[in-house]
Amino acid sequence: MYVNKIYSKKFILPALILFFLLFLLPSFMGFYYSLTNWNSMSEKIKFIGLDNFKEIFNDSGSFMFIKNTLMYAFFTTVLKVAIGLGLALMLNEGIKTKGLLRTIYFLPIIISNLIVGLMFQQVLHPSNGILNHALEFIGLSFLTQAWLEDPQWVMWSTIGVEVWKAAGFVMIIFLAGLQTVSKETIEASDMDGANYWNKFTKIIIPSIAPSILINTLLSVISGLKVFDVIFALTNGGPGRSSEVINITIFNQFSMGNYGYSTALGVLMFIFLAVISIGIIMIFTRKETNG
Amino acid sequence: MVKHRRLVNLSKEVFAWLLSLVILVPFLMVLLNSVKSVTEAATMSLSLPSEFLFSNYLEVLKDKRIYSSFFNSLFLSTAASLITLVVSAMAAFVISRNRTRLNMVVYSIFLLGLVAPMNYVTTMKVMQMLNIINTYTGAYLLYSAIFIPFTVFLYFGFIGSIPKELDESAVIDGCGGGRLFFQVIFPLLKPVTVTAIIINFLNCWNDFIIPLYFLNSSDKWGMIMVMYNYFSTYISSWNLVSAAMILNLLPIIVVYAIGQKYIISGMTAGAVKG
Repeated sequence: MYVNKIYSKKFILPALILFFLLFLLPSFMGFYYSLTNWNSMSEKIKFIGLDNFKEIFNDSGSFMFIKNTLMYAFFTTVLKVAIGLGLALMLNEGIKTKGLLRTIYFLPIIISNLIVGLMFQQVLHPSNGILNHALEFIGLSFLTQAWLEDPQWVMWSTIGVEVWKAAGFVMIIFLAGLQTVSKETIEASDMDGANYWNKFTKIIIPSIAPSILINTLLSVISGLKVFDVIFALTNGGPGRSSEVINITIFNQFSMGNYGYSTALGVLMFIFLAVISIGIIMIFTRKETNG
Repeated sequence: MVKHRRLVNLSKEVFAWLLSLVILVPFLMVLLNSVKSVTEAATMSLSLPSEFLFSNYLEVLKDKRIYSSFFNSLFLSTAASLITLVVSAMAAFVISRNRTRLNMVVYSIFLLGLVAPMNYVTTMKVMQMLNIINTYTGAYLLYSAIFIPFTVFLYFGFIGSIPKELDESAVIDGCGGGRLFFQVIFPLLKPVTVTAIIINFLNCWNDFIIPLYFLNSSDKWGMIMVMYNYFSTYISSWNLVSAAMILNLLPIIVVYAIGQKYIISGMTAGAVKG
């Protein structure tokens, strides 16, 4: 009784009401409105069953943005985790200017994606951009591309920009994780003559498994939800070749196809739930098996 | 052996600095472009300008929208981060101290918000029903709703490390629930509070999705949206666009310089505990 009086439920209410009204309620409503023909043209909202979903799966363009979204989420995750881990291992010991370097590597994550997008429109410019200039300068001119204009390359360019932006964030989480690696174990293995690869696979990786899980999870989630990086870089173009699901949702919203747009939102919700649960299950099974 | 290790460390250091150029050079490029002439900026190169045209900045600053949009951003970001932190700290305090089954269910509902994507279209519907669409009130309440899950999560982890005996002695001294929280506990949460303010403030400042969907009148836009609009107008004048970008970067970099420690600790604390 004393506990319930001091720790009053009223304290939870403001946060819960706000979160419920403007986040949860719209998500629940999404399930209903995805089954309607809700649009900006007609006043009446009609129930049309699974028609929106049928339309999504019959549209050949849908294959493109689903593929792009999955490709973006997968490759940004793999690259961010690999590069972030590399950076963390490099900065973890033996570097005197660690603090300053960490500040620099982390910097892009706090910059608005809109600025990052405009910045890389310049960096990746086909004739004048510094990336192509740099490639020519070091004699690799055969590698120069129309990074954002060539449908073959545009997804890879957006992936590259995301890695540039967020590898430092992944690094910071790994750096925190690396502090949990026991120094005694490393010293003992040194005495037993273990090489770096052995130490890496047998001691370091198992100790930082939680950080690998959280980095993978966060990267996959943000990868599937990506909107602003691509919006600012290409807005889904050229054509629809860099369109991801959130760009489609926005375009359909702008055209007034609210029901269709909502159906896509529901699909994304299901996507994220399944993939997140899947990743957690894979990792936790590994951990319990040792 | 020692000498060898020193050499390895030195080359590692040199390599790390070379690598940092990958991050720094794009910023340098924008900075250089911002003081070039239109034709020189069009080449987007790293060469020094033949003449430093600081007048580009004056040109950008002639646009009156820059000033009002700065205050719009400041107002929105401050309101959103303050509301978020007060309601989240209160909720996290009660959930952490009184872990009944119901409270833990509420906590997992909050955590759902970390993963689940927001449904923009139906959010518009709800905001229309509440009559807050296209208003500041709607915008900062929506930002708060989006930031609450992460902030509750941050506070929840930290409050667990504050001894409960403190609550008991305060209650014995005649403190009620409200006073206990606001006068005894809340001051102790300062490190998380600073972290939460900075991270939420920056997220709100940098965001342009919410105005894109829910804030149609341009007089309510923040700096980022105005810069985007500026970019579409002056698309061929990269020098002016770059100057506008630098003006936009300044407040963000200042906040980063001041709060770097809190930003990093907050983001890692959240991630590592999760």
